Amino acid sequence: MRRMRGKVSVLFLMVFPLVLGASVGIFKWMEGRKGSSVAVGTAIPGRKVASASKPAAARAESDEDAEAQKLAAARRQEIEKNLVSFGPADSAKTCGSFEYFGKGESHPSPGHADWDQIMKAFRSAKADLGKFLIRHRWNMTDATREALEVRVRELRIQRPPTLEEPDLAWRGIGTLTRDQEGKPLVRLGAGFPKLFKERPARARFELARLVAQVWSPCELAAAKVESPWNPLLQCLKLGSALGCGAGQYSEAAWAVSTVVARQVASPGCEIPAFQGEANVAALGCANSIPFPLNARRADPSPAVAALQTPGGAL
Amino acid sequence: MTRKLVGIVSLFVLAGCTSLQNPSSMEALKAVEAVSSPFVEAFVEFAGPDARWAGPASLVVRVDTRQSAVAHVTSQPAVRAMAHPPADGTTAGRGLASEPGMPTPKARALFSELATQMQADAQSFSGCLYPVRVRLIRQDGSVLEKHGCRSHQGWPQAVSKAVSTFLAS
Repeated sequence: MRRMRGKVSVLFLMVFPLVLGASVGIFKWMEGRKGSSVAVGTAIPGRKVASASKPAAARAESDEDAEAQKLAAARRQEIEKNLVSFGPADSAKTCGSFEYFGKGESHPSPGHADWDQIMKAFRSAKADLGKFLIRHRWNMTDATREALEVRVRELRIQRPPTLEEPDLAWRGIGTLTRDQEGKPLVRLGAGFPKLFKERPARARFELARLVAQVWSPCELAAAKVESPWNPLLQCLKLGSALGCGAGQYSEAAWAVSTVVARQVASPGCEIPAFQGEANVAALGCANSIPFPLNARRADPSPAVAALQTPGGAL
Repeated sequence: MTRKLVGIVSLFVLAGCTSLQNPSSMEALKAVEAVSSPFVEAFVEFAGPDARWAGPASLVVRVDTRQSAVAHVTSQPAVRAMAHPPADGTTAGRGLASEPGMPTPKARALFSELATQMQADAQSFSGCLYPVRVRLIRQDGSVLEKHGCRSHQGWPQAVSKAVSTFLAS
């Protein structure tokens, strides 16, 4: 009997830590799932893959999820309907500061369909800036063009709400920021999805401007990339307003990003800096951006270019 | 053996006392005494660009803990009032004196936390698109002010969190 008790005790001592360890592991895994609601880039959190052989319990859970998603979508719609805007009316010909304020911490994350639309627009803005570079490939050096291309390619977008900048939950703006690794990242305010629905042209312009901000003169100067924007800034009389010094705000960065975004995605209104008789010259600069290399060469195909090189047939 | 141990411990204690006599340590202590007056008011500005670029509007948040037991939070534009309009249709939003808000001691503790982060982080900014300006005012009238950039890690993110907490209170 005593031996039996001893064996049971030893067995208990061996099994108990295993059970405890497994319980802690399961708990941590579940916590991890709960905490992974903020997605960066193209990933869509919470999307479940349907399985043909799922058990009844899982199906019931899925039905509950669908119901919960419907309720969440209804709540989102109700909240978005009541969001208040700040800025000029829709009919205004002049663009102004415009945003729909968010509801703070209680503001729900955008639905999958809405976020898909924003992601498409973000990718489209990146593609448009890529085309802009192709269009102007003879106006800048190869090194500069490649640097600009890489910057756009590396840029990612974060789905709201963001834990790092929670004040954006009260705003409807987007900001260009950096992640923990120092890589460029666009963060959006909670009210931005409503802007995208109500004023799609303006929202697309804002996304394009956010993407173009990775080309700001100070960013390029910090990376020791030859800036293609000096003639444009001189044309806009902002040559001395680079604002790349310590503690300075960069007016030039807003000018460059606004000019580029306006070329690839019209906001549906005119930017005040290019409006009116006083700004005719500035409008000219914005419409035909002056570049450092303005000798527009013909665009030969690679085969013809090879023949045109010294020693070639032509 | 015991004597050796006592000797070594005495040496460490002596070294600690001597380091306290260093001018730098004494200055640090004096600085701590000088700033012991609590922070009672905070201004935070997320500055937008010049209006001609039609960029994001500036947001200014002011938190005052001088007058009552509850922190008085105001913002320009009135983000909280617009986010949570009262049911009766009046223009006043949350943050009225009669409503529960953030208790003054908690708000001051947040100011103090923010000040610590602002002072610890010596990162300067250059060529900023989204400037952040913070001014913390102590009860004795002295001011701690710092300018930074939203895109930087460190204290600007602490400012964002504090502002969100104040607006939610």
